[in-house]
Amino acid sequence: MQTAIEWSSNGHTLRGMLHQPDGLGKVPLVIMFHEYGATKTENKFIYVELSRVLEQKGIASIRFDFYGSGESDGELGQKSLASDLSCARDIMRYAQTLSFVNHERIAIVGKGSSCLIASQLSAEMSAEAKAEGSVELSAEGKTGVKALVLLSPTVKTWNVQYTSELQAAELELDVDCSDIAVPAVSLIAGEKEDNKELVERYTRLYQQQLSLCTIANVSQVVETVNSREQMMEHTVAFLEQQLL
Amino acid sequence: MQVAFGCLSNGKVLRGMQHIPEHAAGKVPVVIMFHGFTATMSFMFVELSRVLESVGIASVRFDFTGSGESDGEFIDMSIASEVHDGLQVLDYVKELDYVDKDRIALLGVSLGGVIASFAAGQRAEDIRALCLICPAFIFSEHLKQGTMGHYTDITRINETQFVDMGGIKLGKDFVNDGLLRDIYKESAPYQNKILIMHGDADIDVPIRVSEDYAKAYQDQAHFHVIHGADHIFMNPVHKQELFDKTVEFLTEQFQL
Repeated sequence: MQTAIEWSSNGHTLRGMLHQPDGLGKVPLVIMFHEYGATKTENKFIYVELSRVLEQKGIASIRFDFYGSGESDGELGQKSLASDLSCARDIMRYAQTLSFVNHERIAIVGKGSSCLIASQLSAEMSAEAKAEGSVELSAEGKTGVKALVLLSPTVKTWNVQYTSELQAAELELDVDCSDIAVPAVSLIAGEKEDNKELVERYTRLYQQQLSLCTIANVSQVVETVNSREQMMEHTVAFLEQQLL
Repeated sequence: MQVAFGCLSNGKVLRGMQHIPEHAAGKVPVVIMFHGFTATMSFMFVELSRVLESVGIASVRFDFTGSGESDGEFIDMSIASEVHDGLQVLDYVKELDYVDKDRIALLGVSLGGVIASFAAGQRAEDIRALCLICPAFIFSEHLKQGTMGHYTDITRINETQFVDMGGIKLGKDFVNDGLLRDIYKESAPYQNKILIMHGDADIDVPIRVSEDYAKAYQDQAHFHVIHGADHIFMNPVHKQELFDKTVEFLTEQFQL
């Protein structure tokens, strides 16, 4: 079942879509972050397809527009990496209020520039869970993110200011996270992508928790029908393995 | 006020957004917006809807079947399916209690402009005004040349069933249906005013396409060239000009 949802973040209305599998009981949840300049459907509607496939597998998902994008309040010129991170924290808080969600099994999918938002939020949640004395489910339902999918990660956008904010955030990936819980990570990228340095940082950060999937002959994952199908197949299989 | 809605078209759910002016007295005029090829109801339409709402004009945006949030697969999309979707939304809008049924306009961008024009031809009696933004009437010319856009070869589509449009499948129904279309004949029954806007730096749909259309409609059409504008009105100055001209035209046609 696909339902339009909205909630307030810093006095602004954010709008999105919730896909909830039929049936009773708690289900895993995937939250999808779109990249700068895109919307909650993502390029060629890949997030809509992913949500519908996951729903059939018994996994719920939330897609939403960041402040200043798509259906949400604000204008593109008003958004920043900080405002996107704030929205990401709010959507996670919103997700944790959903009674049908298994809070131990939440994953995030990021694409392009939003991969950094996904990994940053995941790190914050792990640190928060550690501070509370457990990386497992607490009474309030707070836990680390179970899994991350990073699709064609990049620190480049057509907005100079936003790009400089991303590049500064990229440097923060060189941290020691040996004492916090690290999610299972699937990084999927095209063979010809100009993101090798960022991929190396992610590899150092997540070490053996990261699996790298390289799609041959493309410069981004949504470039051909074939690359899209490979990306979709790999993403769904990974999320099924981690969440079900 | 922005409200999500859904309505059915051939058993599939079309999803969209309504923008309803909050302080309007009585029924209000409404614009139904048709998005372009592989696009969605978002982006420029969100901004335009908010501008129109501020001057007392409601709007309804939606994703065609197989696009964005709506049900269906893109491979099944055709001009016929999109015109049908548009007419289903028109019927839905006519039943909304805040809508003045005598003041309904259609607005389309790129391929959405083609769909709006054809839908207005089919429901001439329902449509008070028509607004076409860089309408992609060139599709017919391209298909006859065996291409879709600049680069995609569609000559073997009945064998392959689809062509790859950068990661999404364009199906053979679109091509086979499109080859049969007569642009002017299908639009002809519509007799009210048309605003056509086109950027003279548009390389996706050259401005000559709109020049020819405007000539065919003579006094019925008002043709406005946005100098330097590309197909997606990336420059905020061009976009503002587009919005200003749209508001001016609709305000006049709706007698606000």
